[in-house]
Amino acid sequence: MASTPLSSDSKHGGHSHIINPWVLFFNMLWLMFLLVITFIASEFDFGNVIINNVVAMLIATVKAVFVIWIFMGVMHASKLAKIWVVTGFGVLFLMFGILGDYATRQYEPVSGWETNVPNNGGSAFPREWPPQKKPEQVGENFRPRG
Amino acid sequence: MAAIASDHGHGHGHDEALHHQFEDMEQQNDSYIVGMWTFLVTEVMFFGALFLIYTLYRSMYQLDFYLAHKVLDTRMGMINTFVLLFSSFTVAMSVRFAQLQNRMGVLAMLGITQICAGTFMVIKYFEYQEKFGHHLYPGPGFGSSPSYLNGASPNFAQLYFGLYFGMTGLHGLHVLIGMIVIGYLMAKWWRNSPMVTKDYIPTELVGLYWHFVDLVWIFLFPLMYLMPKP
Repeated sequence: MASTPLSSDSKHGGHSHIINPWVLFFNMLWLMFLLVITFIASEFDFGNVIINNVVAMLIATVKAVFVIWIFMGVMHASKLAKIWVVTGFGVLFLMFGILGDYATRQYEPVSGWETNVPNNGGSAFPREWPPQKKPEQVGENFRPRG
Repeated sequence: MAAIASDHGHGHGHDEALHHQFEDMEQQNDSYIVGMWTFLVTEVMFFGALFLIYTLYRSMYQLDFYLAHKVLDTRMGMINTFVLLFSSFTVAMSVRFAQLQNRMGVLAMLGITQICAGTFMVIKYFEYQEKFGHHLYPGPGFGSSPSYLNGASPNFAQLYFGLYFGMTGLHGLHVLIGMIVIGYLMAKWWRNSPMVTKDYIPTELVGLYWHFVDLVWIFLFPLMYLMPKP
């Protein structure tokens, strides 16, 4: 059945690349190996919970890169497509900068959002549920300036 | 200008799949792929916001999230991850067969992908069924069987399960949409439609979507099922 490959048309600039099936197969095996590593790493204590989480996310990121680079064919894609992909994930990374707001709330104290209260992570969502404060007291998310 | 015009003419004469607004197949395929990636980037931002919410609340209520997550069956999650990784391989192979215009190869690979997707959904169904049986879905009856909360605060366990059902549910919806789209693509290949046989791009674009579904699960699995002890 296999006739002229659609992408061997070099007159059009070799617009698509047929990936070797073994590359795809070994990529799958490599991803499955990384999955097993993910599981083993989750059972292992690297010192503290932050490092444990960072390790888990690093392995997941490596897996994602191999899926994007090889399975999704970005490896052989045009420069425009590559820039688009990198920008997309770059913007996602920037969005996580929002967490900086939560991390720095202690420097800008706002009534109801205190971080120095035990069992309160600085959220408007109180640790006690239902809230012990009256709603009008919880809702003061501003402070007078000047 | 003359050179462009002659290239254009050449392209039309050579490739049936080339649309009139493109200079050549390279430009056309690039436009399709960049367009698909634009859609996928919006999906990245959509799931990204959910991951952001999850990161925030998990960092705030680490212990409750950890205790609540113990109810999940890691073995089921592992099997589902293996299934999705394998399906990504079969989809990548189907794109390869599409480039080689091997109709039966494409149909076989997409068929295996459909079986993988079905397996994923069946496993997910059993997982959800168990959680529903233990009243672990967000709502008024949440936590009516406290033994399944493993000592987590019912409010924050509810937050965890809200995120669990929200994120895995939306992912499952994407799997379901993927199955429908792959089914449509298979029908086109089965009927020998020139839309797919003369141009590998439709198969490639569906493949990109399916890999994205796999990509989301790659992050969901360790975040939801493999939490380290705080």
